[in-house]
Amino acid sequence: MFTIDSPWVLFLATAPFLAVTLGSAGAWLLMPPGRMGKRLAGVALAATAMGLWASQLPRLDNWLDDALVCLPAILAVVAAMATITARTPAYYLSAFVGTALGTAALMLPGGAWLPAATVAVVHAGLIPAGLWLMLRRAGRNSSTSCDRPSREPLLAAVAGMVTIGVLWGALAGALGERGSDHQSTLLHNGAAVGALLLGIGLIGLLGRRETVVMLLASQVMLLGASLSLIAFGRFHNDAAANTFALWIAVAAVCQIVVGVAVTAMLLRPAQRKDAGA
Amino acid sequence: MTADLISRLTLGNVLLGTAVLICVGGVSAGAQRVWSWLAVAGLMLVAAADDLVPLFLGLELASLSTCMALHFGRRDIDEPEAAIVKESGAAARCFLVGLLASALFAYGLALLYGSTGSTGLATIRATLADADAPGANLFSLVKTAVVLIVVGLGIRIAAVPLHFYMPNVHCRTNHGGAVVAAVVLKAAALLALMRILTAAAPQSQPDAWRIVLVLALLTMTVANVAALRQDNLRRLLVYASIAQGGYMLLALSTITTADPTPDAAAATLVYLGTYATAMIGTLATLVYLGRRDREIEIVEELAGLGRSRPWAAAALALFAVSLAGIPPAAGFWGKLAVIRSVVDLAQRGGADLRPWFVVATVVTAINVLLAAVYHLRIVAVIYLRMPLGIPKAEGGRAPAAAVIVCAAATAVIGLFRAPLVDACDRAAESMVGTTVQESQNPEQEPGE
Repeated sequence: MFTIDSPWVLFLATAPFLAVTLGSAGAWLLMPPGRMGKRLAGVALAATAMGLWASQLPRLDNWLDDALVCLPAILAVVAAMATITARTPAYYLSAFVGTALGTAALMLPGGAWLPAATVAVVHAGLIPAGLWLMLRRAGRNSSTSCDRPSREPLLAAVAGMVTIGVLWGALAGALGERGSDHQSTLLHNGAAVGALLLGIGLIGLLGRRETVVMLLASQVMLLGASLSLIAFGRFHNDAAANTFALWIAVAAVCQIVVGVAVTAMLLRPAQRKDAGA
Repeated sequence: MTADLISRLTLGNVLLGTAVLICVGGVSAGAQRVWSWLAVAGLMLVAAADDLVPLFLGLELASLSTCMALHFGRRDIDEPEAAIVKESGAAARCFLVGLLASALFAYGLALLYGSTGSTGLATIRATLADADAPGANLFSLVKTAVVLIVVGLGIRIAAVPLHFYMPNVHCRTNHGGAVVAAVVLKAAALLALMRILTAAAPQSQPDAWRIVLVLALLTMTVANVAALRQDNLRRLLVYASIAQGGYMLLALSTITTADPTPDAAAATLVYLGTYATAMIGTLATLVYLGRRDREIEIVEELAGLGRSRPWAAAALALFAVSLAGIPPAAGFWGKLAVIRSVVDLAQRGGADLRPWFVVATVVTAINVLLAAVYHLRIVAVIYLRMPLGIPKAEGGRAPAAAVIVCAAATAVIGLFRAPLVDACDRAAESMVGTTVQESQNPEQEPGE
């Protein structure tokens, strides 16, 4: 039944399927709590998955343009992965800055400098700086106690990676396996990185219990949405995408402010006890 | 935009807006009232939006204001010190789940924008209807976009696999917070879903109605069965409100088919209006009957209310009858309109539609019976049981005003439905009217 060239075996050997599987395993191993060896194995698996995925993308014809897309993309994706797996505020906040800067750089090629600048100021500046100041004030610098061993990281990793796989399949179906011209190649790359950010943020939001990381993970997802918007706007040569991305940044700031208020995560344990008195 | 807004400031709309503010504000108090009103503002922005950007912003405004309203209505505050989400309050739960919803929704909107190159709903509709457009190869992204949008909004509507957080949110907030979460946010998400599905689905995604239909049937069945066994009034009401969302999703799925009944969109709005009136009225009555430091918690506390507080009892019974959809009250017209549009598709729909909607008709009929059981149980407890104690009724004037407005609306609409149905027809025409015309015109031309 399972001969070497049966469709099932061929499907199991395709790069997208392998990437989803390896990526899920890697993200699961990376999630806290985990020992050093486990995390190193996670890094290796996740890097392999990312490489497999990157090999599926069409390349730009000019090596300079290619590098200008590739380097920020790698920065954004690796930093996003670090954001959702780091355990101390200094690490996850600085990794989030990296994600935001990479995303902003990816928005630049089409000339969408206003949303890029907004992302750089809001996501790489205001949000991490504000959260850092408040965490300092609350006297909390380590909170791994929130993430306990459970099945959630595994389920979250599988959910996020399958989401990425589905989105990449939809993109490849709409744009063709290999981009034909410069514009659609640029679109394919931008939207693919957007889908990656969405899936990675999903893993963090579903798999972590630390409130600040969950907030940052949701912002990674929103960054993925704005990046896809900008990429599509560049393709359609339409400025409405830039307006939409600006408003998404405004909504992101509101979410952070409300989140800080609502989850009361910045109170010390002692204050928290009588918060309702 | 401004001129359009001013032109809509007719006497009827001003009265309607005032009534909504009285009703929603009457249930809550203090800072919570301000956030409830802001959530209503978000709902209005969604209702008036003809573009993806205000749609997204209105929904964000509504959901973040809902979180703040829940935060100010928190009841269960002696948390253990660890910042674990499992033990945190209603607002934190609603907020963290809402983050997921808004991110998926935003990405779905990005894909929808990407497939058509426009944020205007009318343009999206026109572009998708034209299969020979230059960027037509991108139209296949609409399917993914629709799935993401349905999931993102389904979390806010509390459609059944995605309702997981709702019961706990309601148990940890007061009745004022429950109104915002169960009525205002749900209405905003439903209107947004209606706008987007009617713009995106019928032409390019002829199968999108199936996912909505399955969600609707699951929602009403699971929630109605769960509500049957509840003695806690909060849990009973939250499952009742989830189930009511199912009927509205059912109406939505009939609009999303390629061949919708012309007044199916109006049916959704009629249902939404009658549901909102009865649900707000119920919660306002409970606030009115409660003490200052403790609200009505369990069904038993309503025993014998017909003798001790006859007016409040009559209002509560009226709302329960309306939620159950029994004729003298307004809810009947909502149920009738929804069921009529479903039966219509079961009779004259295409071969692929008919079996699905025949099943939907049967399931809906069973659900109407189930819902009648637990709503009439409340009426029976009020009128047939001996009083255990007289409720203090320390709610004050604001909830009393809300009760009066809601009860008057429920009774009057139950007897004279024409004004509501006409208003909903006009609103539906301005929201989705062009879809119905466009999808009917190509059919008529070959016939002529």
